[in-house]
Amino acid sequence: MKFKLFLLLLASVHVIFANEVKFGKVSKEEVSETVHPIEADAAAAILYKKEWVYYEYNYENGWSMTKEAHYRVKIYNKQGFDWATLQVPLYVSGGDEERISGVKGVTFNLVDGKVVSEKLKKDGIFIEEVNKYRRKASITMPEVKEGSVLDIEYKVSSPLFWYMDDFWFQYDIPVNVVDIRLDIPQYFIFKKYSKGFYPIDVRESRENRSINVSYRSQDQSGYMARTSRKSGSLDFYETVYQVNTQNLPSLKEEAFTNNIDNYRAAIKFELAATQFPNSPYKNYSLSWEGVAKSIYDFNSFGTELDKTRYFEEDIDNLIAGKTDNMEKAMLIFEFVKSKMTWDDYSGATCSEDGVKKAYKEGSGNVAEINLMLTSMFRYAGLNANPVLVSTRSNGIPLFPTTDGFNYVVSGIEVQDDVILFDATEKNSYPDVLPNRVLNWMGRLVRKDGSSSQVNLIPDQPSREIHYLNAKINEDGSVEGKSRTQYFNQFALSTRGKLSKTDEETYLEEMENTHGEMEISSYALQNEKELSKPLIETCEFANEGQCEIMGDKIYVKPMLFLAETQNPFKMEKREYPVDFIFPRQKKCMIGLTIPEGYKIESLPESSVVQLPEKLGTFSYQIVAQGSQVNVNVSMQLASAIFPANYYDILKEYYKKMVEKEAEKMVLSKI
Amino acid sequence: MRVIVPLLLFLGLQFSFSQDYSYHNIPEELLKNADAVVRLDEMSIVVTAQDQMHISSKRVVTVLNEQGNRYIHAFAFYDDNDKINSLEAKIYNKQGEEVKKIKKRDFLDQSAVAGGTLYSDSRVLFMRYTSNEYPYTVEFTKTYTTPDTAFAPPWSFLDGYRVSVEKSKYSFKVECGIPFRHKESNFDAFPIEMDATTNQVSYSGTNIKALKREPLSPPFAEFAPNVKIALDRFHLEGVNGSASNWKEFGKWIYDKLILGRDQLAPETINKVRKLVKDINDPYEKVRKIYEYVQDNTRYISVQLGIGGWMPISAEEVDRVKYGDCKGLSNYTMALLNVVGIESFYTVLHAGGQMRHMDPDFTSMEGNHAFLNVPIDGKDLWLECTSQITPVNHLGTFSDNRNVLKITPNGGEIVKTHQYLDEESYQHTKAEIFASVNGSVKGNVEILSKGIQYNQKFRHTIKSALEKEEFYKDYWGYINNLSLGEITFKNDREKIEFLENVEISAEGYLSETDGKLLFSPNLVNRDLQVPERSRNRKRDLLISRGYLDEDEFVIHIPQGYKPETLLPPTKLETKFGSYEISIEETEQGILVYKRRFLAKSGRYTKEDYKLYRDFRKQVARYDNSRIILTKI
Repeated sequence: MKFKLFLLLLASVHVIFANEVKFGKVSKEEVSETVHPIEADAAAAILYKKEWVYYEYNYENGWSMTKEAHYRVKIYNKQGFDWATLQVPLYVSGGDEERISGVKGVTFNLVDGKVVSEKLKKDGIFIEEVNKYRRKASITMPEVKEGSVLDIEYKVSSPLFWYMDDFWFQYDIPVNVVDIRLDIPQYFIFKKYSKGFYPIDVRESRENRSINVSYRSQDQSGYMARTSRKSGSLDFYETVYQVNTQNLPSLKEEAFTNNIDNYRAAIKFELAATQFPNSPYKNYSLSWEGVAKSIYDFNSFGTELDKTRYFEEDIDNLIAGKTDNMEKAMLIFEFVKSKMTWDDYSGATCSEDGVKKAYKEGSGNVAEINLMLTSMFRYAGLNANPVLVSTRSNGIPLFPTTDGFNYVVSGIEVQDDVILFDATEKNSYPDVLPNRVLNWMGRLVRKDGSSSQVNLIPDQPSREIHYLNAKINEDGSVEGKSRTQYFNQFALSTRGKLSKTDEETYLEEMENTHGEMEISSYALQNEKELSKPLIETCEFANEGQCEIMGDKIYVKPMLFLAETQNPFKMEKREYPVDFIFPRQKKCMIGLTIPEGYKIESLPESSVVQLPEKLGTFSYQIVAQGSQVNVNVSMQLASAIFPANYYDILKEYYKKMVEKEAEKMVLSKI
Repeated sequence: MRVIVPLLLFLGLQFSFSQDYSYHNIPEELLKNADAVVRLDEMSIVVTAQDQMHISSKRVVTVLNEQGNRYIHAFAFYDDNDKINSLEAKIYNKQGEEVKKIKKRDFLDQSAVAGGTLYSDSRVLFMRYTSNEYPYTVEFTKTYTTPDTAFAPPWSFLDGYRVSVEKSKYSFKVECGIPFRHKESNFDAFPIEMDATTNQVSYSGTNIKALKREPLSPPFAEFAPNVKIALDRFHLEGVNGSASNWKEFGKWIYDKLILGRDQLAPETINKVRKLVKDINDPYEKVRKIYEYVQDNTRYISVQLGIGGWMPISAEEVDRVKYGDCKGLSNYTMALLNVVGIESFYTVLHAGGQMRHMDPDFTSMEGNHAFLNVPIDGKDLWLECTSQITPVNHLGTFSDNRNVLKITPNGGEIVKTHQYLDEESYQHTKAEIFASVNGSVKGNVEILSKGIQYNQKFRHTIKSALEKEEFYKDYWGYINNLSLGEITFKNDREKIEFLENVEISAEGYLSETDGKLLFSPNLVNRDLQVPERSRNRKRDLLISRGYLDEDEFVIHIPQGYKPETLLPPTKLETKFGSYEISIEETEQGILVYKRRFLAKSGRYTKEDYKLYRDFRKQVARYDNSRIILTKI
């Protein structure tokens, strides 16, 4: 019987470890594989990714967090060589810094049918002091060729125990197997969030742990104080989170996509509370109310927002005698925009300098400018509050965390609405915010700790209206006058472009985008009057607009305003299409045909609609004598279209481009 | 005492200018076409020893608008050897009143590892300042000391386009008796004065107007005034050197940086010998070795100290199987040497814009290294950082320029191959079937050589998605394009690339009044028309030419015949020639032929408009359509 038991034991041990991937133990199959079994054109793949996060305690330094990582990477072809270099960011905060240790690496190659290995040496490891806040470890593997399998492991220990990097599961190469484990002592309450399109299952369990703590103790007995080392054990339980998942597809960037990271499978852990022995339960954020409250507790937010003395006198003078709230708001908004220049740094909280210094210097980061604005609004008696925002490049804030936000604007609550202000952009207007801000929802946080969601994407389409009045000449050239009106977001971006370039360069660019056009008598209206649409007028002459075949002239009635290419060319779409804001383009065109010609045929009028009134394209054309009038409107009522709308959207654009490409035919009388 | 002298000198410099930086003092002519005006740009260099150079500079820039911020240059690059003695910036408002002072400790310190480099020891101190008004002025002063006298700072009186200069002063002084050389370029058209003695040279430029960027113009350095300086005895990262011409300079590089770095382990030597043991043809040997390097190494750049100039040893590369351009070139050279083929490490300026090593002035220059292999009196070139470039394919990265070949006897300036216009060849063949419903479908075969090969051969490592993106962009003018099978044949020996692509598109033919209209040039339209260039000041430069020949067989829909065909067209200009013809060879089959030769060359500024007209015509002909009517 003894014998049998032993065998059984062995067998079970074997079963347990069968799936375990051990560093340095690579199978011949892995090394000889030439193509990824699922994604045949993958340049490389992550065969295995293991990360284990656990806590350690030491009497002198307190808690610290350690992450052990093991990656196994397969290189299929030369395009995948970049994956033979791993970069690990290391944060530095005050005197605390993350440290990397135990870096080990082995490259495996198949040589004459045998697996041959080469170890990573010190000369393949570099630590770079990027700046005050960040260091970076770069690890590059030796003997990398097509077919190589790379094993890399390292450890990062961090005194920043409250901050945990996100766990990513998808890259632009496929990932075969992922094992993630987190052991979180009972004193830390983390909340987890998953995001991305690919569902990730997290298992939770509880385990007991005991650690030995040795500490110094001072004995006051006798003449001299004596220090001795004592030790005790700390018993507690840990919450264990585990993810074991397989075969995650690669993720590829597509045109018209908001930040691709929004769709990447990931799990985020944020510290929700701490409960240390003999200390009160301490709660951090993790409900929207919590976020609102905790961000007010930050000195760089709440305290800065409360400061008013530095501007009181200026604002008193500015709004003296004014009683209308909106008038006061506009005066203050314009004042901040003209006084302050954004230093291009984002942030939902102020820098070390704070609002007062920013005000004095006339420049600051986002929070300094927009918190200052909010506090001036409040000072003037307006119901203003900060609205936390995550910019497009920062991704969508799906869950209530403070570090999910990297930007702040100001919101004034009126009746059932909130009017949004962003003074970082000189040409912005109430409710007309820079594109970077137009990312899903913002969070308005009130002083009393309450908060509410604010839609950042405008409901109303921004409009662009073109009026053309043109004469077609017998030689195929076209000349005429153009008047273009830009509203809201279009006005903002055009004004932005104009203020960054001189007129000559701007016009050259415009001529070049319209092909062989020459522009004269260019004039702008309302360049500085932001409440009104921006109006551009000019005269144009364009040589190459018509085709002459035999004695007929073929010409697109929309001339150079016709869209010539469908922006959606790809067969498949994985992620939503993001147009940033809803929009409408209208063209009203009057054409005079050359003398001695008649209209032989015109394109037919037509209307194309997207389902659920999400968009309408209408093309109306009528002729009267030698005059042709074209009226075209193209509208997208939503900024975002889910990926399953892609085919419909592509078809909509196809029909639009086809219609706009149709030509009217003029023939000699 | 050594330190005190230059310190005093710097102090003197600080006090000698107390200028009025008011915007209103800028001469009107300097504001035109400018985003910034350099009020004063002054640098003075004192060489006190072969390994000690003191540099003090002061730069005052009035920034006129947001674009002008890039000309402030308030930064200091440094590495472990350099000592930055002082650094300070002052900000002045439009009226020229000082509004802020930024001290050295307020400058941000950051690593300055260049893109594409994994690690280096370069760092940068830079100023962070956002102005809330334009114009404003920044005065930036810096003094530093470096042992690396191999790099005597050159001087550009103009920093680029859209910036003008009120005063630019440069002086170079040698206090240790080392002879030095200087070369002035493009001074003629600019108000610059020069003053030279045996141990000192100085320049002063006043009121230099801003230049406007012009499309297809010669490179900036070719017409902007600049000065190059070099010491005959110099120091670089712990290594002394001496040279007054390229021969000596190359000799120094060979002796100090290359020699002895070609040792290899016996196993490697055996392996390599085995590789070529049955090959007699030296060219074939080169190919074998080069492919061995390409299959076994990759590019990783690490630049530390002298490692920025000295290749890591062949033994090291052999162990880790990676290296930068220097390391991989030296490694390949060592392997070739083992099999009895002599090759030469070569330094150059690599990049799409052809930049030459100056044959008339010897100084530390170049940004890349590759390998020269003379076989039977002909030069072969090996780009050792690429895993896919064929033997002797230069591409736009290193073609047609002066490079410095390093031999055991010294340096030698030689020129790399210039691709003749006809050598950069593309032949497109297509057979297309058009149907009554307006769709087309067919097969396209494209053969590319020369520079056109260069643009294609990386296709082989593209993913399916990238290929789809490429062709849908290449044929962007075909709406509703669908791609079928795509295959490539990369002939690395002949340096030819063959693409085979199945295509189809709905609605290619448009119907008007029962007639079908379409453009017979389906798959090779050259629609790029250069931008308009008003009041052009500089020559037209077309760096590289090409020749395209096309033959498309088009099966028109049944029941239709051509109503109009394009008349045979031939355009003959000094910029090239363009020829198209279309013929109905048998009923229902049209054959479209096209030949387009775009010539390289240098032309006058007046020619620009003519060139643009030529390209406009080409674009128009390539777009032009024919009409089919029912039989």
